[in-house]
Amino acid sequence: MAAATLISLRDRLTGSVVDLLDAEGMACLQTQEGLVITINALSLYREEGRKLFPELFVVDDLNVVLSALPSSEFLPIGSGPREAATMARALKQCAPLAQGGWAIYVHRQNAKFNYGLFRCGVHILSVPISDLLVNKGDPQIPTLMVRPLAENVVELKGVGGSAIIAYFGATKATNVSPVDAINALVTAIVANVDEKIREQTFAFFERTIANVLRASHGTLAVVQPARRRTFPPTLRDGILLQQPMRVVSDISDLISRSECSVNTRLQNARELITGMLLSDGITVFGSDGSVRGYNIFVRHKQGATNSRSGGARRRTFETLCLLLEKDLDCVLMQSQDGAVDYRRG
Amino acid sequence: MSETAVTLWAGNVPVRIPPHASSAEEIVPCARQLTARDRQHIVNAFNHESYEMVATFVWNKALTSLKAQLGRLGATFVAEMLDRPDMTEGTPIEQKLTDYEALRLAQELGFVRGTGAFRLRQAFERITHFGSLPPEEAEEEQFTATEAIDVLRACVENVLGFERTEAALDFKRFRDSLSGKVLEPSDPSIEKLQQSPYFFHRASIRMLLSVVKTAVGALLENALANANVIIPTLWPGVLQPERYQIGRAYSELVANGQSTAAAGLRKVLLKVKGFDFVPEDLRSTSFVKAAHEVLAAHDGSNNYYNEPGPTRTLERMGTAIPIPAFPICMSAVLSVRLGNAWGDSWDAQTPATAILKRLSPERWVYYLDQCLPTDDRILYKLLSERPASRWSTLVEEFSLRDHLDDLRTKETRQLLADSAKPSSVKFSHAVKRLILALGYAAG
Repeated sequence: MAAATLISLRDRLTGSVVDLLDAEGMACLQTQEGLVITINALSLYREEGRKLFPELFVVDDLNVVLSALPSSEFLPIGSGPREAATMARALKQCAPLAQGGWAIYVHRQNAKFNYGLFRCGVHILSVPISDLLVNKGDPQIPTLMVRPLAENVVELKGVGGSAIIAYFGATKATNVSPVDAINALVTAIVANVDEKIREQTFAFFERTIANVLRASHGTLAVVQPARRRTFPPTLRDGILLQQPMRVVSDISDLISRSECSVNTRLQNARELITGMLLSDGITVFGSDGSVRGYNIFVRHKQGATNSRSGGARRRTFETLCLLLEKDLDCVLMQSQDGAVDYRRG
Repeated sequence: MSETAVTLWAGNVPVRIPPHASSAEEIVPCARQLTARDRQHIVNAFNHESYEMVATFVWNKALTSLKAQLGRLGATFVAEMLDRPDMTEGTPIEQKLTDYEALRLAQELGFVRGTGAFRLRQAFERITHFGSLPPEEAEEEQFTATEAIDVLRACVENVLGFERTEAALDFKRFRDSLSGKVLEPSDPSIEKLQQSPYFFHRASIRMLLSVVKTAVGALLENALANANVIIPTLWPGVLQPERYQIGRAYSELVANGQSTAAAGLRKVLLKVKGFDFVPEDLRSTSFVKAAHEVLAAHDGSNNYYNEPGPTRTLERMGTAIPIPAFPICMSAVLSVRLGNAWGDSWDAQTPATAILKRLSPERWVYYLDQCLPTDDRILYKLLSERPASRWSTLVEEFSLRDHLDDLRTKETRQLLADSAKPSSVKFSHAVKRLILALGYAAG
C-alpha cells in the first residue's frame, strides 16, 4: 500500500510568520508559535456555538501604545509565562469580550505575556485601533495585529507593512484579498462624497462591510454612479428605496457637533445597512455615499456569463459585471464559503 | 516689540495722520473705508458734542470691517488661532468673535502693528466701559472730546484708513508656504521663526494645527511634513499651554476619524516625546468652551451683569479643571477677578474665588511659571491701575509669594515680588518685560 501523503498547513504558516516577525523586527520563538495557534483558532472562532471575530494586537510597550490612543481604556485580564499557551489563553479568556470596539492586547515582557482588553475613540467615526497602531501606525511603536477577515480567512499584519492573509478550508485562494475587495467597493461608494468628509465616510462603510464579510452569509453589492438617479432596468426587481439613505449628512453632523444623538443615528444606519447586505439579493449603493436599494434580483441571461461553474450568486455577479461600463462603477461578491471577488468599471 | 527683534511678518504700517491733527475734520478725510456721508455725520456729531455716540459708531465700523476680513480666513482657521473649539466650519465669525479676540487676532496675523493694537485695545476698554454704565452714572460720567478723538484716530490709523484691511503680505506668504510646499529645516523662514518672539511661535503652531485639521490630499501631506520640522524645532521653548493644544489637536483628529492627519501628528509627538500632553479624554474641551463663554461675557457690553452666569457654570463643572484646559480657564477666572480699568462684576466674584480656592499650590506654580508668561490678556490687565491693584490683593489672599522659590521664570518671580506695590515702576516694568518677551507692544 502506498504511504499516505502528509500535508501540514502549519509548516507553511510558521515559515511565513517567521519571515513576518523578522521583517517587523519582532522576532521571538514564543510569539511565533503563539501567532500560529492564534491564526489557526481565528479561522473559525466560536464560543458556546457563537461566531466571534476578535482582533488581537501584540505590543511591546503598553504605556506608549495607550498614550498614542486618545480616549482609551484598558482592562488587564491576566498574565502568564512568555509562551504560546499564554497567548492561546489570552484569546480564550478575552475573545468573548472583544467586540463593540474592544480588542485584545498581548503585551510582551521579558519573561511573560500580559494580556487584556483595550479600546479607544469617542464615537462611531473615531479612528479604530487597527488604523492607529498598524495600518497607519508608526514603526517606533512595534505592533502586530491578527484578525479574521472572513470565515476561514485570517490576516496577520505588522506596523512595518508586512502582512499575511491565510486562507483555510477548501476555498480556492482566489488571489482576491477581502481587504482589496472592500477597499475597491468603498472607494467607489465615496468617490463623489465631499473631500472634507470622504475619509470618515470611507471608514464608516469600510467597517460596516468588513463586519458583513466576517459574518459570511454571502453578499452582493454594487455601486451606481451618483449622477444616475434611476435604477437600470435590470436592477428593478427588488426593494428600491423611495428616499435613498444618506448617511453622509449624519457623518458631517457628527464631526461638527459630536452629539450622542447623531452617533446613535449613525449606529442605527449601520445596523440597517448591515441587514440589507445580509439579505438575499443585491444591495445598491450610490457613489455619493447613499444606499439606494436592497434585496434586488437580476435575471441571468442565457449565455451572458462565462461562468460554467459556481452557484447563483456567482452567475449574478457575472451578469452584474456586464453592466460595469455603463450603469455601475463596482461590483462585489462574497460567496457563502467566504471567497470574495470584485470588479471595477 | 523691540525694534531690533527679528520677526517673520510685520503688521501693516498704519495710515499716516499728521501728529498735530486733533479734530474730526482733520482725521476723517483719511478714513477711506467710510462713505462721504459717514464722514460728514462724524464731523457733525463732534460738533454737536455727541462724543460717546460717535466714538461707538466709529468703533463699530472699524470692528465690523476687521471681523469681516478675519472671517474670510475661514472659521476653522480662526477657531484654531484663538483655541476656540466651540467654533466650527460655518460659524458666523462676525457674530461669534468678540472685539477683544478680533483685536488680538488682527495683531497676530499682521493686520495691525503692535502699537496700533495697543491703541485699539485702549479704545476698546473705553468704549466697553462707557457702554456698560447704568443710566444714572452715564449722566455724570461723560465721554470727553479727547477720548473720542483718540478712538477715532486709532480706528482710522489702523483699520478705516485702508482701502481694505488685510493681513500683511509676508504673513500670507508664510501661511501659504505651510501647506503649499515642504519646508526644509534649513529654510530661511524656519531659521527666522526660531529667532522670532514667542507669539510668532504660538501663531505658527496654531496655523499648522489649523491646516492639519482642515487640509486634504497634497496640502495635508505638506502641512504634516512641515509640522514634523517646525514643531520639533520650536518644542524646547514651547510652553505648556501650546503643548497641550497640540496634544488636544491629536486627540480631536483621532476622535473625528481623521486617520491620516492623526498619524502625521502622532509622528511629531513621538519625535518630541509629547504624549504626556495628549488629554485622556475630551472633557477638557468642555472646560475650554465654558471658559470662552466667561471671556465672551467679560469682553462684551454689560459685562458686569453678564459675567456671573457663565462663571457660575464654570465653577459647577467640577472640582478639578483638566490640565489641558487649565490655562484658558485661569485666564477667564482671573479676568473676572481682576475686572477692567473701571471695575469688576461683583456677583461673579464669588464663583471666581471659589474656583481659585480649589487650586493646589502646584497648580498655582504651574500657572505662574508656564501660563502667565503667555497670558497676554492678563498681562495687559496688569498695566491698568485697578486690575493691578486687585492682582496685588489676590497675591496676598492666596499667599502667592510663598511660591517665589518654586518659580523658574525670572520675570514672573520679579512680577510676583513687586506685586505688593502695583503702582510702582518696578512692577509695571516687570509686566512690560513679559509682554515684550511675548512679542507684543507694551505701550
